[in-house]
Amino acid sequence: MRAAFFLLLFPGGLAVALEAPRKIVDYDIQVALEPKDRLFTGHETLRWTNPSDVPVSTLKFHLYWNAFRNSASTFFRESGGRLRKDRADEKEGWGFIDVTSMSWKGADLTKGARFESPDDGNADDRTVLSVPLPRHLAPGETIALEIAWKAKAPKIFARAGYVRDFFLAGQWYPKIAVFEPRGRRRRAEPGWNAHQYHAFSEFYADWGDTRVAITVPEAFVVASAGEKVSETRKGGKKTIVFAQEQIHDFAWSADPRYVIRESLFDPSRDVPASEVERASKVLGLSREELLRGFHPVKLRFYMQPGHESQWRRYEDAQKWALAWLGLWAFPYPYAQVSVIDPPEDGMGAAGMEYQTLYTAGTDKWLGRWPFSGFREPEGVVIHEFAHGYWYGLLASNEFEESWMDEGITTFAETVMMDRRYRYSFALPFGLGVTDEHQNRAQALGPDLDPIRRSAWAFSSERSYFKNSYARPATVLQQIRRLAGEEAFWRAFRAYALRWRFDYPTSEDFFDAFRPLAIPGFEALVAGAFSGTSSIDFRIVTATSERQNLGAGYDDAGRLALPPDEKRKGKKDKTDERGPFETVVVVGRDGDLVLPVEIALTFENGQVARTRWDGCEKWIRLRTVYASRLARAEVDPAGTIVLDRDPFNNVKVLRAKGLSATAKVRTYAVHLVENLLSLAWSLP
Amino acid sequence: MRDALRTGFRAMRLHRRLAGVLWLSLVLPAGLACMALGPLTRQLDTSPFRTSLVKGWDSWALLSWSSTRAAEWKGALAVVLLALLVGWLLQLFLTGGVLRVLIDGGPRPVLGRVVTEGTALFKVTLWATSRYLLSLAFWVGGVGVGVAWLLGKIAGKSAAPDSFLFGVQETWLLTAGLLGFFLVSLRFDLARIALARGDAPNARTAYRLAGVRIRGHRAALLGLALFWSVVALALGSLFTSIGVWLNPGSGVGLFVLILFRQVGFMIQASARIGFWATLLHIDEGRRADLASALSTSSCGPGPRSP
Repeated sequence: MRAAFFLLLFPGGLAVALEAPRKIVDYDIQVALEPKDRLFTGHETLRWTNPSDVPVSTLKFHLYWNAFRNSASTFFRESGGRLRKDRADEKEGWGFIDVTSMSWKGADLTKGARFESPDDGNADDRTVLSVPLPRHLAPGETIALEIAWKAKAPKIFARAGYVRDFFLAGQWYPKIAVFEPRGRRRRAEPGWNAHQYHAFSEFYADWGDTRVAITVPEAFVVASAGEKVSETRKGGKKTIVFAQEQIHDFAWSADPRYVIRESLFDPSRDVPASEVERASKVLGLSREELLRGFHPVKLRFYMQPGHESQWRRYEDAQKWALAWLGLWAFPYPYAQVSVIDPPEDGMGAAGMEYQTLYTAGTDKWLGRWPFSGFREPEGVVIHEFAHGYWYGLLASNEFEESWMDEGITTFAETVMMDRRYRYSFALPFGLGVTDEHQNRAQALGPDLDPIRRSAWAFSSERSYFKNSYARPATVLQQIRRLAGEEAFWRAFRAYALRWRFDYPTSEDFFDAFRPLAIPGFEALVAGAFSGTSSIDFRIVTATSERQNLGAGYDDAGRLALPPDEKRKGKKDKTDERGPFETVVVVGRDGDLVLPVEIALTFENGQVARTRWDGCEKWIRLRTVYASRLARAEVDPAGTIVLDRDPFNNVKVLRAKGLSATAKVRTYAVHLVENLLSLAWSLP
Repeated sequence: MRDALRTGFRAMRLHRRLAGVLWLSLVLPAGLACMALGPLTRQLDTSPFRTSLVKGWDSWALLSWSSTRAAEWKGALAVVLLALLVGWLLQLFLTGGVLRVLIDGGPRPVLGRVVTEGTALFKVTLWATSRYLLSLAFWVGGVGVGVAWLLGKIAGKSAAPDSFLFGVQETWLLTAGLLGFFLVSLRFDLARIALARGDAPNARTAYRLAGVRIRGHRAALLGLALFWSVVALALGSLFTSIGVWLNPGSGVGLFVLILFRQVGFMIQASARIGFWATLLHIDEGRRADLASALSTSSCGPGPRSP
């Protein structure tokens, strides 16, 4: 059953689903940290295999800490030295990375090296280094480079760097860019895919094994991606070796103040039975099939002093994310996860994703009443860990298609958050706001950019965030509602399985859903992913009148008065006798075409439902029925989550029961009275 | 202390009409807010959220409502803020009259007397209020927040967020801020009592007298103020919680909710009367100080305010 479904989705494509990534680049790195000067001195042996069918004459490297070198870098020009409410320290906060030597079989490669700016032509940017080789590298040939470098950590305001003795090393070593062979990400001709470090994007890399020996003063606690291999101490310093296979990114952190908390994800205990049952029903898989591949995962939480009490919140969210993603995508393949809790004065490093390690983020106030109802710490843990799937295990190109990382991650986050915690923003008295609704609200409003766009090419920071996070997450919710639960989640899981350890594009994602023939799917691809289309259904008019048949001249030339005229103010029970002619006009504003249901509710309680393909700008429904129309509603089930204005979806002709207006207004007025009575409650 | 509290509770029982007058300062601005919210909330009955809102809470209704009707929300919010300001001024206005009635007792109608006395005192009360706001800015803003800011500066950028100085800063901000707020407010209350008693002809003198009366009794007064605050907040929380829990689904239910909440506000207003009566009782015991303060002020520079 499962295989048949899979084949249906990917005719001829099943064979390329990978059990392990193609191994292209291995790193063996030794790095020493001098905390006082914030200097990293490193050496790496980089083994890279030409994955294409053409010879390669030039190598390209990411030197991403040069984004913090000066205010002329592309990153600084784009961000203006500000990111996520944090501001760069333009006095002391600069950082850099300099390659001091690079050789291949004894030949110095640095002589011909030059910086390139493939994205924006900024001659001052130093984040992409192009290194010509003395000879062509044949297809399939492996090169072993010896690279030495020095780097200074920037003061944290964006992602990585230092604050006091806290260090977060992300994008910290000379990293080779991606040489895409023919066919990779639907590429017609092989070539480099190297991007500068941008304000809003930094991820796309090749798979391989990484081994890192980190030397720090003994007092420092090191948190790192990968598994700890060994630890040696000498002269007040310690060297810890970490190794991880099958990854494409490696980050680590050091802080003498870390308080370590450890836990274990035990699938037999930590995968909720109710979720297994739900997944089994929706995905059509047995419990055994679903739980296959699950294994214990070591969890380490590196907490800041003062935040220790919140590690349980991190732990709960982490275990839930491992369980949910394991069921609805595939089980986490690595043996451990390290969660970094950054200090409150280094929140620029919070909420960052790397493989097998990520940074969370909280505040001491969030651990105290009444703020503990805000699920920010859980939301960050779930979001960042989910990145480990959608940027990590499915190595999408975040530069060119940021939605494939941020958007799918945000979508998964909303589902996980709402299922586990109900409200991500819990208000007093059992009220609250769900994560999905928060994202939907952010996705409302006009757009200047499509979702599919290079991360640096959006019209504004706001547009980037909206179109990379909230809007794609909402569009995915739209697809989910149009497809139905079973079809959607089966295709979603099939996509994840097919592109695990591989490099998917937007089209690969769409192809996972195309065989389902979801109504409106192509319109969404064209209108929302590649365009700026919007949609707003509304009831334009709705009338329901007693049918005036028989008024006017008959065939014999006699004039008959309409029934209302005959009565002339004499109201009786016959006024309410049918038949009634009901006319409803439903309109569609915006150029996104989606099918929708229309429901006409009559006074006798009968409901007539009809489906409109939404192709025309409007539709008129006319019916003659024994009862008068009470309510006309377009999209009564709330399927069209992209609807710009749900408030015009209804016309009520006759309402029964309590008025929502009266109720909400009453509570609002009581709120005003409560605020005023506060003046009585205090001296 | 016990006598003062007993007096307060007795006043709560006896002066229900006064509480009713004070309650008006909630109802009138609430009416203004209700009118402002009319056009905004009217859309809910013709929206897809009618049923869900009648049933209870709808997260998407709230978010989509505020997102798609942002301009209308801003307009309504402005009027609600205006209503809050009006309510606060009304409380200031009525409190003067309420205090005079509490001090003098006397014939009905209570509302007429409160309005007459309140009108007579309103101008001088406004002067006292401006002095109160200045004191609040100085003690809470300057001393509370200012010292906290200074502590942050002393700690410097190299201090960890959980370092000792930041801990002191947080504690200072909370305790000194709250303490400053309570003490400044208490002095304002005592000044208003002095004005209501006719002990002081103007706000300045009233504040000076309040300073004298508060001196040496800060702890006791703070204790009483805290007690009545806890009582009022507990009452407010109780009635709000039950009000939310009631979640009416019919017109009758809504009527019961409105009635229940207004009864709650009336009881809270009674607690306010109890608070004033307690303060008046304590103030009575300090009249000897008043006499000496007045005599000093008529012959030379009066006692200095702290």
